[in-house]
Amino acid sequence: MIATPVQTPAIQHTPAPPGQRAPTRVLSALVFALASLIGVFAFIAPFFLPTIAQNTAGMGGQAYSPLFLVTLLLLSLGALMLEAQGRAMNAKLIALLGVLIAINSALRLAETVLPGPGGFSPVFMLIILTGCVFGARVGFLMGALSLLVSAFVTGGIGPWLPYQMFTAGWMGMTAGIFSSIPPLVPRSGTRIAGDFRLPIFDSSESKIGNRKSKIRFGALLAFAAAWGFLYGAIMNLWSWPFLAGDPAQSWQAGLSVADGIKRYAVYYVATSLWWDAFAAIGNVMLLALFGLPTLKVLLRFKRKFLFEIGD
Amino acid sequence: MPTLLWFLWSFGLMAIALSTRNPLYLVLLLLVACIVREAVRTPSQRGISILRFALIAIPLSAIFNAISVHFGDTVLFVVPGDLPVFSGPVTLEALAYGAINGLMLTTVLAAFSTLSLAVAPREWMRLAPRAYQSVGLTMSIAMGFAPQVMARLREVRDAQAIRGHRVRGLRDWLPLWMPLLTGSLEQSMQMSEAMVARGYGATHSQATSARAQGLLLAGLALGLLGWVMQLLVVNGWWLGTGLLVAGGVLLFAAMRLSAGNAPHTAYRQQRWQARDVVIALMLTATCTGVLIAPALGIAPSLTYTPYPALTAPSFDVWIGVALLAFLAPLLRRG
Repeated sequence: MIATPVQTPAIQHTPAPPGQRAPTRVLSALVFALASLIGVFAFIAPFFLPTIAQNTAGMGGQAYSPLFLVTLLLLSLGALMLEAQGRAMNAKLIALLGVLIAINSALRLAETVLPGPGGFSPVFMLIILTGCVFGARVGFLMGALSLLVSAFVTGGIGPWLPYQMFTAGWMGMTAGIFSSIPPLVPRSGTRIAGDFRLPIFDSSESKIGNRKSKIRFGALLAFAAAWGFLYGAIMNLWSWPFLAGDPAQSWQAGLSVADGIKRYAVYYVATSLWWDAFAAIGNVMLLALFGLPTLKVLLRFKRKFLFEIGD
Repeated sequence: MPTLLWFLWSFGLMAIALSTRNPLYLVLLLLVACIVREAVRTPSQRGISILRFALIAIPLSAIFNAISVHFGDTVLFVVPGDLPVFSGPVTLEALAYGAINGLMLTTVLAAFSTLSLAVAPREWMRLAPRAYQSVGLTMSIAMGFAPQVMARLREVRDAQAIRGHRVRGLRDWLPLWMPLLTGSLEQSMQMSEAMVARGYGATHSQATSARAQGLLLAGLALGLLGWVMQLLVVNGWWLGTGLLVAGGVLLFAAMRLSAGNAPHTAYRQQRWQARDVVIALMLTATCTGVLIAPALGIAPSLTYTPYPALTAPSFDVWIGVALLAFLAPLLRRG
């Protein structure tokens, strides 16, 4: 028996039991897309549901109750989790994800005790980097479960939790884009390439050297900054219809979609932009300072996960 | 004590702590949680120091609230200038409210820490629905490991301090962050190897079957269609509701089908004793009495706020006695 690293996928599937067909990637992608679509509709409901509810003579208004939307989100989350765990989890990944989520929960607890300026939060860095290294599915689980577990740890359980889980899950899921771009440095002479490639940083590099690397790392920083704003903008949506205030920036039943978006934009700029700017700057700072060493460690552990003894 | 009973104990205590800002009740709950925590802790379990956490959390929370919330009658001093958030009067009430928030957070942490010490991760996992076994296991590892992360951070910080390292800025966290991350991931490797050695994932497929995926997809599609019908189609409310219910049934069926792939057995079954039933009844009665009865107007409220002018919090003896029911785990151990 020769100890050689062999190319095996990060996500290993044992054969399906007799009588059951193996899962397909197409079905899986469709489940993800449809569940996310329901999530998106639930989030943007304040913009279009009041108009529709008026047009359908009242009964449609019940389809906009907060309880209904939270139930819908929970069902979609349940479907997404079932699908994500089904294709992505093995013992190594479960242990790794559990530990990373624990670290994020501890960071959120520290943030609760000692709040940073504005919306600064240290928990997003690991969510982004996990999605970046391990792909969209693991990124989604990392984001959603980080918020769930840390809500238990910090006592932050409430009707906002499904929204937070969805948004953080999307953050991790979209970070998976960075894991699918071809590697920057081709690794000749090694058989364990392919599945754990990372465009921005190769574990064999000690720092970003060339121009392409800098551009790709810049893209990751821009992505983190964008999510600093997006997270706040998306999360505001669930509470915005319930807040009373200046009529120019408040939600009102019967608004047209365009008016709703306009008022929300004013509300966001007036109340949340500077707050979320701290989140965006914080994400960029954390990634700039800790991103590369953390990526290097995550890549090293991913390589360890793929190591198997060949026959 | 059975796992479910520990959950009832901790979530009941946390729910009461989260629903009051009365410092007297919070101090009582914190003391009760700490007593139970010390009783369940074995010599090999370290956990985090609640006292140390309180000494950090309460003053910091008080200071942060005082400088960021400018509300209250008793002005201590005024921060001049036009600094966003910080400029304005610093009041005694805001200081007190921040301290109470820190106390509440410490109480929640004490309850959570007790739960993580009392219930082994494998017991957490048993409570997860079978369809979500992998997610449940991940969560149980995370919840069991969270207090260890804080203890590890303390160890790393002490070790670096011996070498002369001081945290002055964000950059100085790197020598603490990297050993914390690497050490934790090394531990996750050992954990996964132990799981594999014990046969985790060896006997059945972890993957969702194509049939379950089909059911998931159909359930989501019907749910979305039902919702759209409720909203867009005139007189389509009932049809839409029917489709939504059908979608929910299909999703449930997908979960049932996936659960069939994840059988789990227990070497030792937890058995409820008469004392456990008594404790469960005591805790349920306490939570109901303290949380729901005030809303019905048949019991005094837990509500207290230091705003707009700081006053002494009230203390109802009967509520105090009722909260002592959270000492019930001591009866079980005795």
